[in-house]
Amino acid sequence: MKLAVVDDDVDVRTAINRLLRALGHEVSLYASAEEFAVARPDADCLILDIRLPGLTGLELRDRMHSAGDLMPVIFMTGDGDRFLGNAPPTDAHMLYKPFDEETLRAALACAVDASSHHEG
Amino acid sequence: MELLDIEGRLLYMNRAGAELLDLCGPQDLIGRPWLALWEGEHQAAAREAVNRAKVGRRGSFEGFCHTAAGVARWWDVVITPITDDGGAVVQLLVVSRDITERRRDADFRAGQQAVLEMIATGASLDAVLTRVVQLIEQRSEGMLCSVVLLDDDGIHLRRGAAPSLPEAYNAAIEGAPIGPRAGSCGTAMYLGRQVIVTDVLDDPAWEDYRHLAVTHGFRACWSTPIVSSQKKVLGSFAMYYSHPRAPVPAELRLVDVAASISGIAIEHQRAQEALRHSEERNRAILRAIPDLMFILSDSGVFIDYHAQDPTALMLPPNEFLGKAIADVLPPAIAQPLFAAMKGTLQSGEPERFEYSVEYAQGRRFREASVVRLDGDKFLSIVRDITDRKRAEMDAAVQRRELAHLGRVTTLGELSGALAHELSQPMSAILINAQAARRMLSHEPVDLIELRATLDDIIANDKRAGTVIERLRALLKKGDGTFEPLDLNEVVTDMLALIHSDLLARRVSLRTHLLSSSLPVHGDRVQLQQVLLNLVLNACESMSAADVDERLLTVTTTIENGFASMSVADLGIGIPDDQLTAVFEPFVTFRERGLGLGLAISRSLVVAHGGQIVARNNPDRGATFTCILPLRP
Repeated sequence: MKLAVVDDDVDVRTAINRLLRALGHEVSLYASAEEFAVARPDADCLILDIRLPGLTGLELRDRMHSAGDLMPVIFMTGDGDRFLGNAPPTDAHMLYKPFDEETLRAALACAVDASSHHEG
Repeated sequence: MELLDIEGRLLYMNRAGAELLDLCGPQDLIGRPWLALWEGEHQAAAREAVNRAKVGRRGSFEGFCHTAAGVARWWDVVITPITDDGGAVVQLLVVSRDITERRRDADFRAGQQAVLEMIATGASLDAVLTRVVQLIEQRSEGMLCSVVLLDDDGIHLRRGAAPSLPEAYNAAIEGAPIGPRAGSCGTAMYLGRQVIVTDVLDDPAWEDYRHLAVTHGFRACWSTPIVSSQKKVLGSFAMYYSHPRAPVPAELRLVDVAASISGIAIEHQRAQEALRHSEERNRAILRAIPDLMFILSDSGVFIDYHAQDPTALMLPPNEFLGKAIADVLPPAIAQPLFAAMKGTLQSGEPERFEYSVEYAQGRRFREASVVRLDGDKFLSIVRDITDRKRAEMDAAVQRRELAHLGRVTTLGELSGALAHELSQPMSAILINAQAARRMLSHEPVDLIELRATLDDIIANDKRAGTVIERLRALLKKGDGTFEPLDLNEVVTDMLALIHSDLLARRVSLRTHLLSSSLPVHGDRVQLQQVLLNLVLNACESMSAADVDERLLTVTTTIENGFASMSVADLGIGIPDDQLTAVFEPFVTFRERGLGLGLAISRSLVVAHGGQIVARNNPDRGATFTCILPLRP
């Protein structure tokens, strides 16, 4: 799959990149929501950190929806009980840091599957 | 001049001689033995002079006799032998000179001298004044003298000395008020000048006392006020006569002399009394003072001491009196004591230092104040400050407890962000480890990438360890020990810890840290707590602001010789009348928290010898600045 990853923490970003590549995916990395929005790469799924400097992960998702961009999104959060004042995205796929490979793969499968159903 | 026969019988006396002896004529004494004129020891002196003349030599003596009118007269007598042609003594020529005045003056001067000696040797005022009165009375026949004193109230007469006046008279005027018609003395004291009453029967000053005076046989009374060197009326000196009489100039001089001697006596006695009172007062004060006091010579030898409670002394007096500081005190006390002596010598101001002494009952804390005394000595006043010290230590413990409570509370508020701060490296570690395991199953194994992955695992583990270390420090109670710190480092450490909290709050952080280090002396955790509290308050005050206006500025600098750390926000600011009150306990503008944050922060900063102030920014928001002494 083609995957995009947005996380402001370079260590986390690098680690996810390594794992996803080792799993055979093609990965593009972004340090902020703005960076991703400008590049708007072609990807099957976006793995998006919620807590970001500037535009937050949730705001980016909202903007994409508003613009009719239906790229599947998996959120990451290191802080399970706080959602920056916004309602938690009940329908979203969530990864709670720290997460392992199996959880990541399951989330990917689920997100892409849901998306293809949706499209179908 | 007299002529005696060889047997000492009076043969001739000239007229002047008869007059001086108050005789009607010389015939009264002719043929009488001349020696009989003399009395007591003077007769013996006269006899010896006569005997010398009888054997052809010249005899002389000074002696006194009473005149026929009973007046004592002093004579300077010279007896010269008269010889016949054969050289035998046949008659004696006596030439007598009246020296009564000279003798009286000499006696008076000796009397004055004696009075002054009495004053100097501390005789009682009563004895001195009695002697003065007697001395003056001797100067004039038929004159009686008295000294009356003026009460401290400046109104009433008090007894002085009047040994020759009737007791009934003295008792009658005792306690009488002075005034413009209060007899000679009362009036003289009232007017502050001499009052000469030549006849009490027609002088208005005696109107109220006329009967009293006449009853006791007084007609004339001259009184002079006794005035102190400060021109204060102390009493009066009076001369009484039984008949109407005006003074001659010599008598006026005499009363002035009497008044001035009496004044010296009274003033001296008052001064002695004042001195005694002040000594008694000092002793009473000293008895009431619980402090220990030591007088030291300029070379540091113990000269004297005061100890209300002798058991408070480190050593019994005989083991330190007369000994040098260095020989009796341990260096821990002797050295600061020497330093304080040196310091007060230079500054002229009291020098203080604290020390502690171990007693069987426990440790006592002391504060010594050292000052210069009498030009060449030192006074060391030692106060027991054990209770104050204990209270200070208790307060320090309480401050630490409260600070800890504050930190725990604050960290509770931060726990989400702190979890995030930990979860980042934890995620990196887990994901890297699983990536590495995947890499191992790919042939050929990319060793370079594998090594980089393992390096990242190690780095992130350390990163997590640092977060945990900082958290642990904040959660620890700590003993409040101060250490040399760089305030910049304190600030950057704290900001790293709350980085993700700021992100979560959507607050942008700007830092202006002094490029060089900021050396201070303090407790790292406590200072971080102050900063954390200021940052959280700043964030809170901006929580309603637009996201792009949530700007937090942390600045460190050196200001007026102090290290300064300030936190500025663009929030709602503080009501101007609350800029001081915000540091009071339970005053809060935050929704969460006890309202203790700033109160604790202030107590921590003050314990560091610093200050914390709040002010509103000219445009928006508030700035909290805390200043700390720079470490030398």
